[in-house]
Amino acid sequence: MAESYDRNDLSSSITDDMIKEALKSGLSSIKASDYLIESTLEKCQEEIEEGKQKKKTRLFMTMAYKLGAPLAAGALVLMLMINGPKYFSSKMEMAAPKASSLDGSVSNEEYKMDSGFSVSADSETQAPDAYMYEFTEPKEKNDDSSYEDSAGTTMMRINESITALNSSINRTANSTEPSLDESFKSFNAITDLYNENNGTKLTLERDNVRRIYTLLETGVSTDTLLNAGDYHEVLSGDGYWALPLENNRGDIEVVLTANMFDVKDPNIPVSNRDTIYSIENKEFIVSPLDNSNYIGSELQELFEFDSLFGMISEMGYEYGNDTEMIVADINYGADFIVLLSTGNEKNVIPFLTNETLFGVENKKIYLWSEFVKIVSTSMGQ
Amino acid sequence: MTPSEMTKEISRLVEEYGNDVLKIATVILKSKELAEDVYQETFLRVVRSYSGYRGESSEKTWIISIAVNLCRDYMRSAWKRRVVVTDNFLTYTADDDTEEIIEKRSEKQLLINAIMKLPDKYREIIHLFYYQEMGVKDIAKVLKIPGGTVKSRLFKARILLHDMIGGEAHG
Repeated sequence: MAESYDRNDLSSSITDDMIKEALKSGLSSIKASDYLIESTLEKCQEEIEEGKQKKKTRLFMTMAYKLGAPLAAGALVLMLMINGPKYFSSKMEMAAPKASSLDGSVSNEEYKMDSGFSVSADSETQAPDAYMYEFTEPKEKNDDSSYEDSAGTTMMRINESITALNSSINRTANSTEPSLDESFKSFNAITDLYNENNGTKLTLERDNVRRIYTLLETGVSTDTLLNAGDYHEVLSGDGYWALPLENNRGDIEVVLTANMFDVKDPNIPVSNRDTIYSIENKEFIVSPLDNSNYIGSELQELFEFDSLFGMISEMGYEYGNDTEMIVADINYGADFIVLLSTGNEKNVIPFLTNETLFGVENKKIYLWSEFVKIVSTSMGQ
Repeated sequence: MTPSEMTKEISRLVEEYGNDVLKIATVILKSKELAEDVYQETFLRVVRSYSGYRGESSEKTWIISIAVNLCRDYMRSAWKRRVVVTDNFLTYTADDDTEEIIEKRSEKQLLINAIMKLPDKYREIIHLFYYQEMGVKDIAKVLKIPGGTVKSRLFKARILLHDMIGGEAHG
């Protein structure tokens, strides 16, 4: 009889009360046993006793510090008065050799870039005709502040100060880019290949995939920023796809950037950080964002449309029929801003991995003009 | 507070919130053993941080918050990854039930199974909202996420539940 139960009816009529009831029934058997309660209370009792002991020790230590420091200082003054000149000369002689030996002991750890190129075989779990060219990633990095682009130029990604706003170099024109619906099958195949290569079981949700807009290819200097009428003037018309991959907790573990490209084009920049995935005769350049962990834990709203929408509403922002919302990369995939436009009003919400670098607060709504003023001041410093 | 007063206070908190802690830990970790570890560790942390509790949030929010953080630590730990978790701990007693009761129970069973299959972030929020009956503000404090995110996750969780139950019917 239970088997004849119509699940379609249930799916169309799940109410809040039903969820409450299901949880109440389902969890009613979960109760702490007497043994668990007793052993917990015993451990707590021990902790309380220990805490009492520690308190006494702390009290003694506080007294010792309070009385000990003046006594020790007095003794030191007395000793210096007696041995003054002799003490200082011998101390300086002893210090010099120590300093030089310290300099000599600093090892120069070198970090070797391995640019090995390999192709992984197809497997049954992969999408049809999907394979991957892999630029082997270095095992460890001793300097997170720079990376090499395709031309071998070292580019600063996370700086202590910033002179221009720049986006990731991997980008394609927004106007010619296939829609998310058209590309999503390929993004799923990229996720499968990534999992296979990294021994992970991450998943990609369609709703969380973002088109990230990029800034002018030449970068946005303070002057360009100050002279821009609104944010459209600093955008390049290009962008890339960001694929936030979630673990089974639903937390973002890595954000991959993906761009379809023409494999025959010799001018396409490919760096050591990129992996090339070939999926059904389409090639994608895929790279993980450096700050994926931070983005996943602190800036996750950026990739959760519902959360972002809710957060912006909570700020008191009033959406209109003409509201435009764009996510832009302003620092080589390390820092982002959400750009909002309704009518003539232009706003910015920062999602930065380094707030102090730009002088603005994360997840706070700014007028475009206000944002430009603060950021250009920070850039000038 | 004297040690004996503290002992009394902890006994009260264990009695009042112990089962809530065990339930949220079981729902998040899907393991009775791990949930019991979290139960003990939660109250040890309550003892250690009791003097720092200023009553900015309710006792329940404070204690559940400690438990959720501990669950997250367990989820992250390498040890946890080796533990085989089960979601078969939710059992019902079946005596001389009527057809209607059996059907109702199947409904609940189906729904609770679907809840337990939700990704962690949706499962914990469904539990806090519907079972612990916590408000959006308190849940936001416990999970350290904005209120808007709580609302949107609740919304998404409900959609997922609908999809899962509909999906099972078609699958």
